[in-house]
Amino acid sequence: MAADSMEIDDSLYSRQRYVLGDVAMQQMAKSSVFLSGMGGVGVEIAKNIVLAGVKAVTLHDSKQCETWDLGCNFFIRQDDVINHRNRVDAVHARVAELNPYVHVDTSNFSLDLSTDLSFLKRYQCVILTEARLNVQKKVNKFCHSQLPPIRYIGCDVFGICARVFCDFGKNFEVSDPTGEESKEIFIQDVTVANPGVVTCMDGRAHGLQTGQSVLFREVNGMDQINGSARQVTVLSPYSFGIGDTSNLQPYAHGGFFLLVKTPQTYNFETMEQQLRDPQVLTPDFSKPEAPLQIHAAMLALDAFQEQHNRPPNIGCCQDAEVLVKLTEEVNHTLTNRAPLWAELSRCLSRTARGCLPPLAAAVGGITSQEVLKALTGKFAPLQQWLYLDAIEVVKPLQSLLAEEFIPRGDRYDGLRACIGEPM
Amino acid sequence: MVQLVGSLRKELADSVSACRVLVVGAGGIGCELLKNLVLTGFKNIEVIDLDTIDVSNLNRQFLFQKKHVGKSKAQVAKESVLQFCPTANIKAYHDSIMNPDYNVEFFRSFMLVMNALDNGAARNHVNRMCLAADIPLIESGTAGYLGQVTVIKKGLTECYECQPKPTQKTFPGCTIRNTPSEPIHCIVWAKYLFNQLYGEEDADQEVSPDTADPELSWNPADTEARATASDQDGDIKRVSTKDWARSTGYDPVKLFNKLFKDDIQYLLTMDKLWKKRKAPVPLVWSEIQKMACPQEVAVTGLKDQQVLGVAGYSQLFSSSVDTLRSMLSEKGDGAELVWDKDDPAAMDFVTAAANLRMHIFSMNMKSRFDIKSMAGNIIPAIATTNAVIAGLIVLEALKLLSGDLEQCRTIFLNKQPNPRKKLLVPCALDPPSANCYVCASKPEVTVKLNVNKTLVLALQDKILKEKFGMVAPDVQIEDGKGTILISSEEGETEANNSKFLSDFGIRNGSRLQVDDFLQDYTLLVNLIHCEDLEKDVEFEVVGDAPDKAPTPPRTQEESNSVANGNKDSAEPSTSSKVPVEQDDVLIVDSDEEPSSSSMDVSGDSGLKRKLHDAETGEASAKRQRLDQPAAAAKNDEDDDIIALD
Ligand SMILES: [Zn+2]
Repeated sequence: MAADSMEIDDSLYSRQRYVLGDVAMQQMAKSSVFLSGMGGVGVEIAKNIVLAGVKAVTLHDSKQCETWDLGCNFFIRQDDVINHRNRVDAVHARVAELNPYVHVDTSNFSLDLSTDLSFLKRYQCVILTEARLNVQKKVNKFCHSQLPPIRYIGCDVFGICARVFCDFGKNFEVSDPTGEESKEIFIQDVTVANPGVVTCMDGRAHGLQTGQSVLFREVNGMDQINGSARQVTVLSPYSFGIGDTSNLQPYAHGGFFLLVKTPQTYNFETMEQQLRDPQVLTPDFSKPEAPLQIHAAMLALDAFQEQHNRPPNIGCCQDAEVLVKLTEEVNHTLTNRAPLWAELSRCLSRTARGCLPPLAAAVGGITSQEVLKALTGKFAPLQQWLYLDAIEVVKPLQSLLAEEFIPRGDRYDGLRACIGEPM
Repeated sequence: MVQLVGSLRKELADSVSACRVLVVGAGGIGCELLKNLVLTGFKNIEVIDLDTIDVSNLNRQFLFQKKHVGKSKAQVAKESVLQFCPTANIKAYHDSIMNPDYNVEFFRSFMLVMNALDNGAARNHVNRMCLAADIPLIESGTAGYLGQVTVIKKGLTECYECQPKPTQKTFPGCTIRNTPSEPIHCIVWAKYLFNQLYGEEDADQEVSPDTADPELSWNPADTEARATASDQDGDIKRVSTKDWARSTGYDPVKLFNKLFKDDIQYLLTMDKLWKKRKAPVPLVWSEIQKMACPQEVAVTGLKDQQVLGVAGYSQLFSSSVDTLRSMLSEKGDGAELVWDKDDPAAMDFVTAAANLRMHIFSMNMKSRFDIKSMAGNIIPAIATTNAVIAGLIVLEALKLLSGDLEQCRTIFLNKQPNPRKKLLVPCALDPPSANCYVCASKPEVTVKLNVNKTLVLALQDKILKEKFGMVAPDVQIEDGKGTILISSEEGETEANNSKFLSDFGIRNGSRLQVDDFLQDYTLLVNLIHCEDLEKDVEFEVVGDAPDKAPTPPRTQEESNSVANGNKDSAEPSTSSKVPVEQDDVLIVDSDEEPSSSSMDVSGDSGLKRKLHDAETGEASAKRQRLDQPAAAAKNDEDDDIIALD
């Protein structure tokens, strides 16, 4: 069936159609996604994009279910832990059940530096969670070099810090950056002059910007203008110039114009290129330097794992000081750096093995939204890093004794690593 | 590291596992929230939702499956959550939170209340209950890619009602009846028409030309012309639209010619109206039928996305009139139909009638899909936004429970990340507004109305319940005698309902003491007698955001879009009696129009911004200030703030 005539199940998707529009919905229904890592954030992303209605998702993970997972992954049950099931097998049916229109399959090979990545070619979007930085770099590089590029998203949540990285390729075209419908605005008058000036009816604001184009329709008198797109020079909120109209017939009455939507191209760099001089979003202007600081701290965490082949230990002060040092070192390599935020590095170190479910949920939601943008070319994408932290939640807990955070072998260990003994 | 073993630790530990929390709503946000709460170690959770599960929920409310359709949301949500966290202690109520059983005592039994609601009335109510019980409330809402979370704590932060919200906007009758300028006006007209013909007749939903249009001057010639035209209409004006339609046997052609030819010709006689506007062009059934019906070209896209021509819509009008007539007669004598966006014939009728009227008034016609969204007040919704917001709610809850209100934020989620439209925008919480008529220590408000024309019933329903959000008000006149005007006890003051306020000696300067026992809320209402309120305005709250902004027709429509999502205030018209499923609601700001949809209001940001500023001006100014000042300074168009309804 041709995609543009593909029916959309309105009983299921009615509310979402009004968010994305049909073109984007159909685009999505043609797309296949590879999602690696079935931890707390991975399962959130799986849930969201399956609900949204992509064509197919491959869930990838090579770990077994542990008690720990019960506190982060809502699709893993006690039974799965007892039976040592693979995480990906445990969640498979439960994810698939969310939407009968989406084909969900699984794979559980180990994804590392030696993996042949050509299998990724059948996907339009690849998302890695819980992946080491060097694996991420390799997969990202592969995706970036494909024609067309495979959209790559890396998403990491370590304790109280989270990062999302997007690389949608060199020339990612967004057909509709704002998602707003062009409004027809009625015309009061068009002068015969150079430049001709258009005035809106009833003092309506046109909302245009100089450089945009508008299309004219149903104008009487100045008939030649109909159907033509003209570039706008804004003169006031209610009027704008449209170039030379001096050789046209005088305007009589009627007609309207609408904004011609122009696609916008976004240029993404690879993760490798983005490490030193990251293009970060600043979500909170009360701490404008936080994103760069978290960038450095999380890169230091990657370095820690490379060096020690393990994440820092829960609540461990020594590891925390090592991470502070590493952060300092990373900071020196950045072209665009912010002052060291040692407290953040300490908190990150002490909680890095943990999982704070609400943070995973929020970041999983944001990542899924970027997946939809990657697949549909609708709405401006995230360029290129987003950092979030929940340091406010754990700051008051610094006074706790280390043992408050130590795992006890129950489902709340991940949470306990972040906020201490919750019982 | 600080070596203080503070009490905070114990508090948060106790808080999370032992504390009882109430989740109001088990819809889009509610499902995600319940999951996050149990994963975060919350053990004692109560959840309440009046709704049952609909197929269209399954696309985001992941705790529900097809087999659950028709069942209680709260109950099924509880059962699904217990599957992945069997040790949680969850209590589900399939009920309205506005039920008096859930009194202040009930609210007081929780440490924290979280709203995951879909409508302003319930939000107002929970706000008051939490203020009365002095329990912190986390409020949230989403619409499309937009969302918001905020924390409310009595005496320390703004309450949900501190910032006046656009309420109860209706379109002026004359805009609907005489001078529609936007598609929404024609859609509202078509819904009115549906009710006039098939449903409950409502005097506020007239569809025929309005000769009392204030724009008309009363010069004798005009009046005469109108009188003549009126005669041509024969008896139509003197009987109800429904009776007349019935007398024709719901003849589609007769209906068509009256609505789209005769009435329009009559409007044309009011030539004052058309001096500055493009005049409407009447449609004649027989001529349209003569038009070679252009082959409906194989249009790409979905059927409900197509826009038919005038001939197509006249056919659709005719066939839907026939279908509705038989539906009506099947129901027997005196039966009425209720407009429902999901009823194909009703939706066809409104699509056809609205489009024909749009054509007559030189507007571009719209697809059935677009009209459905506008007529049905459909709030766009997507799982991803709910997931983000529900995560943020629990992060705020953790800060709140660790006693760190200082760190709590109002967080706005936008759809486009770029320097101007930041993706997540945290803003410090504002202190309570001293003038708030809800959370001030002695709430007081001044209302302008005409005491000779306002019925006691209107005071109760439109002012106290609708505007001031009370559930069961008692009203006493401060006349030294303590006259009881309205009692919430059944049967005590019903006789007063049909009397005017002046019948009880109420005049300029009178004061009413209004109590809502359930909400534990007392409001002192000062009355100002006013004879020159604008047409279609029954009362005005002094100091409230202006209900009308500079250019009425536009503004009305915008307010509608701004208030979009609020079942109560967004409904410009015949609200469908079938509850519209709207789980996730808020007000969205101008440029952040909810969707790609068809709300037809984007693009006009200048005017909208004005409106926005007028209505939430103070709030938005404050919030912008909280952004980095430098950024705010260079962003004069910093529109990334959405105001939660
Ligand atoms: Zn207040």
